[in-house]
Parts: sequence; C-alpha cells; structure tokens
Amino acid sequence: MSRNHARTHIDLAALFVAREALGKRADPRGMRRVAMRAADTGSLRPRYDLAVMQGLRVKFGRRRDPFKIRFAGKPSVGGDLELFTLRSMIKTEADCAPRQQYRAVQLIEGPDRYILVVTEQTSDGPTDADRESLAAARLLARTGTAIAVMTPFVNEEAWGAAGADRIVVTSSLSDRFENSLDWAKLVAVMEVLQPEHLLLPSSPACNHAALRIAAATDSDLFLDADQIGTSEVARTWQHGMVSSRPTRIMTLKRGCAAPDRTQCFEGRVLDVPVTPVERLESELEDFGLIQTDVRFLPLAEAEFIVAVGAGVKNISALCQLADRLGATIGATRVVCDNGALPRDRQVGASGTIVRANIYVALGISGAVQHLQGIESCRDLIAINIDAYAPIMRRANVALVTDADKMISAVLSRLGETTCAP
Amino acid sequence: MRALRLAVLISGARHPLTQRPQRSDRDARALELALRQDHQEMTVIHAGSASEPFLPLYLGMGVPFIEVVPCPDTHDPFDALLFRLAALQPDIILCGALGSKPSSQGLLPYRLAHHLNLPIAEQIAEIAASDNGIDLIQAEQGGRRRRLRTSRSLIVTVGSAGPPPRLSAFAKRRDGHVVTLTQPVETRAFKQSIDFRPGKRPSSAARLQWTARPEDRLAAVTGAGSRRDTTVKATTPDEAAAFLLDWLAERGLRS
Repeated sequence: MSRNHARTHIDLAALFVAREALGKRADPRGMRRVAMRAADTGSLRPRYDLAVMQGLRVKFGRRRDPFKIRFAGKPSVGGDLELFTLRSMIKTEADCAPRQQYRAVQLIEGPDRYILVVTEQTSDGPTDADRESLAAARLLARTGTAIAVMTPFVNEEAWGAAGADRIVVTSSLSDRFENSLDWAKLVAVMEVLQPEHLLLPSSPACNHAALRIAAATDSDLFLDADQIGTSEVARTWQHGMVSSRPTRIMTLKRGCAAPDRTQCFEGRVLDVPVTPVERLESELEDFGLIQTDVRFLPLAEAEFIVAVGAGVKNISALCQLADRLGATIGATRVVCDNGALPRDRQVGASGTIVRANIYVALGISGAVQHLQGIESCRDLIAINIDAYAPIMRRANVALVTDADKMISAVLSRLGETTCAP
Repeated sequence: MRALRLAVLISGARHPLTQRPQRSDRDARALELALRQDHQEMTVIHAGSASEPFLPLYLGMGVPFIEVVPCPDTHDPFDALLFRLAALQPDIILCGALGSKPSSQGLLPYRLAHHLNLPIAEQIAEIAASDNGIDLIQAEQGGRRRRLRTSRSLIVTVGSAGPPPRLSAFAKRRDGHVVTLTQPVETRAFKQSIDFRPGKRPSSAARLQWTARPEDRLAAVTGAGSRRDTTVKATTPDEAAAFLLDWLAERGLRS
C-alpha cells in the first residue's frame, strides 16, 4: 500500500497487535479514526488530530511517548502511514515482557558481631523452620551484626534468600547430639565466632545441646520460645507467659517469627578456622533403642491410640488390629472393670489423660470422664452403632457402624483373619 | 552387684490450683528411683532452708534424714549444691529434669555436670547396677526406650517417665529428721531474671499467620478448633473399614 492512497485499509493485524500489546481493549473505531484523519490530509506533512490523540491517550490511560505521538502519522522510511501510527502507540516486545523482580542484596562487610543459627540439618535446603529462625535472628540483629547459619547444605543463593549473611559449613550434625563430636564442634565454632546469640530449633535433641552449651560456656539460656522480639522473648507456662530479655542461647518453637521474603542477603560461605575435633570417647555407651511392644506403651506418652469401650466384645481381635496398625491400646473404665484389659490401659479422668495425635474410639459411648481424658487429642475418629452417643459430637469423624464387625473388616482388608475372642 | 553411693537433689513445688506446698513430681520420682537401688549410702540434699514445708513429705517416703545446705530464697542454689556434691563425690547424682518454678529450664543438672566433670544422662526411666557398670534406660518421646551404659560416676535426670513415687507416710515422716549443714556456703543471686506473668496464652491465630493451611487459620480465628470434618453414615462395616484405613493413610499411619 502506498502512502498516496486517499483511503487506506486499516491493517487489522497491526490493530490486533496494538490491542494485545497495550493490554486493554482498544477501540477499533478510535484507531480507525486516527488512521483516516492522518490519511485524509493526503499530504506529506500530515497533521494529527490532537483531540483524537488525547482521547486515545485517556482511553488507554497510559502516558504515551510525546515524541512518538507528535510524529504519529509521519511516515517512516519504508513503512506505511497508518501502520506507523498504530505502531507508534505499540510498545515494543521488550516493553511488554514482564519486568524481572530483582531484590537488592544487602551486604555486610566486616561485621562487628555474629548471630549463629543452627538449622534443621537436612541436606535439601532451607526449610520453613530455618527461615523462621533466621527471621528471629534478624529481629535481634543490630547494625553491624551478621547472621551465620550452620548447615551442611551449601547454596549461597538459597540461604541468602532465606535471610542469612554468612554460611558456616558443617557436616550434618546428628539427630541426637549425643555424639560428643557434634556439640563439641558447635562449641568450637562458637569459640571462634563468639556470637552474640545462638539460635536453635526447639526439639529434645536441640534443647539438650543448648543446655550443654549453656553450661559449658556459662551463658544465659531460654528454651522453647514461643514469641520473640527485639527486647523480649517469651514462652507459655501453665496459665501464663514466662518472659525474659533475649538470652545468649535460645531455642525457638515453630511460628515464633514470620520471615520477610522481600529482603535478600548475601549468604557468603564463611571460613571458620576450627581446630579439627577428633572423635572423643563417648561417656555413655549407647546400645540403641529397646524393642518395646507399641500396643502396651505408657498411655501418657503414646501418639497413636486405639481405644475400646463396652461396644467391642472381641478384645483379641482388637489386640491384633493394634499390632497391625502399630497403635497403643486404650480402654474405658467399663472394659477395665470387667478385666478384659489391665487397669493401666484405662483412659479417662481416673485413668490416664492422653495427649495423642490420633485417637480411634471403637464402641465407646463417651461418658464425661472419658471425654475429659481425651480432651487434648488432636484427631478423634469414633465408631459406634449409636449415632447419638456423646462421643460422636466430640469426634472429628464419626462412623455409625458395628465396631466388632468393623474391626474384622479392617483386618480382612489388611489381609489377616480375625482371631476368635 | 556393687552397692552404690547415691545423692538425690530435691526441691519443692506448689499445687497449681491451691498453691499448697507439695513434693515436686520429678524429684519424687528421682528419689523413688534411688530408693529402689541397692545402695550403700544415700544422701538427700536440699539447697534452701530447713523449715520448708515440703521436706517432711520427702521424709515420709522412707528417707532417714535430709541434708539442707543453707541458701537464701533469691539466690542460685547451684553454688550450694556444687559445694556439697564436690565434697560427697557420689557414684550417681539423681535429680528431677525440670524444677517447678516458671523460670526453671533444667539447666542446673547440666551446670553441675560441667563443673563436676561428670557425664549427664537425661530422662532416665530405670537404673540397674551390675558388675559391668550402670545400665540405664532412657525415655524418649513417643514411648521409645533406649539402653545406655556407663562405668563411671554420672548425673541422672528423671522426668515424668520415671517410676511413680511412693506415698508419703506419717510414721516415716516422724522418724526422719532434717539436718542443716553448719559450714557457711557462699551463694550468689540468680544471674538471669525471668519473669512470669499470668494471663492468656497468645492466640494461635497470631502464630499460624503465615505457615498454616487456610483451614487451620480459619479454625484458629473462629475458635472452632479442628472439630467436625465429616460425619460418615457408613451402612456397612466394609465401607467404614475402607474409610478408616484411608483416613489413617492420610495421616501417614497406615501400615
């Protein structure tokens, strides 16, 4: 198409591109109007209609390049008039591409002091718990403090994004901290770095390590912190909160600090000149875990309990089921009074208060005293032939069926024959 | 079977509701564990004052005498206990894993272990002395038990997995007596100040802000708890069995 044509066709392809690029629904009539007006002048010096252009600008709501608009209609070399007009309003490909989100990396050179964070010691990378610990460390960090994370997993980017300024590389600290090598290594790193704070996750092994290190370095200690702030750290205790100023060594429970994902730090690997620690003679010989029958664990410590009430007659089938599922056996007062199960299996106000994660109640009606015993259980599934038994209200899931028959059905599904009562 | 020289550290507690003085549960379990051993010599030590109301309760467990090392209430009992234990040099020192005050975190046994240069075994459920050494059974979370052995002196910490303490009997209480150490011991005030303020626990909604699943956050805010998810009116035991096994599998417990 030449520019000498009085009426030119609208290049629909260009129109389409314009619409796509500008991201809004372009008014095809408006575009056409511009093109026609420019073409109408028919001269080599086209004048553009300011009102139309203003209208277009308002419609699209974007600040156009005034240079481009002024020269709209001016034919480009080898281009078409209306195409140029449309194209002048089109953003280029580069403009349309989504902008890269670059976060500024915050650097610390020559830190005055350190905060040492011990991670969960997995090799996969920073976990949510690690991010929380680093966020808590960030709350405690003043200017000039660098946060060093002790981990076997070396990835500067990942740890920098998680909130660490430095990485201290260790081989994986063992789960139990019983190996003298692990906590001695931690103490050695602490001696070199002299951190202002040492943060650990709150687990039995880490609490044990924190206690040993606090005793060895004569530091203040705060275990199982639920809340942490710049000037206070607190944990729940009975019916209140125990609080203190942030101590040198702290163990943190999950959910004490929320990580700030908008900030990014360096995560540089730090060379800590630690004297190599030889394997020390362990003072206590560890013969490993004792094989205990899960079915008869102390109820106060059990995490998965299968309990029976008066609705179940076949107790040996239940024992078989508990064995197969790896559950601890519990019973109500009625069953213990009958002698079907020993008294230490009784769950309830006068038996044991249980704090299991999973509690399967088979044929239990749910007397008040029994419900008192299972108040703190997280997930409760109740099986009872009576849909209106009190326990069905308390339960998370209630199955209305005969408990004995259900036990047989479960055993047959697991590929076992039910033994006779 | 060699007869052991034992030392037991005791402290008092208050009933959470009535504030009545009573034995500390863990310390009483530690004392029970010690009483069950074949001991050549057993010393029960308390750092504090001899007029404490809970001391007769410990005497009622069958203890002939309790040694009291004088220590003011606001001072750290660590120095007093260290002084006495360094002089005594027992084979096993037993104590509770945690004290009864809000500020107790179980640091005292670890500090004693460090300063006396003894290994520490925490959360012990049973002790058996043999010719090979001392066998210990350690209680872990979830009801697991671990066997340990040592041939040297150590500190043993007893938690709620220890043996249930025997009842306190009046006659035995009358027969026992409390002995105060006459030698003055230098004690220092607590280094760290931990305050306790009674009040509401922080709402779990605040804690679940960014990590929890949407249903957990909603439950925390509405206070509904994780109650009724579903009610399944299962007509047949088979359907119920299938549902139960799936439910357990969801929670990672299926065998």
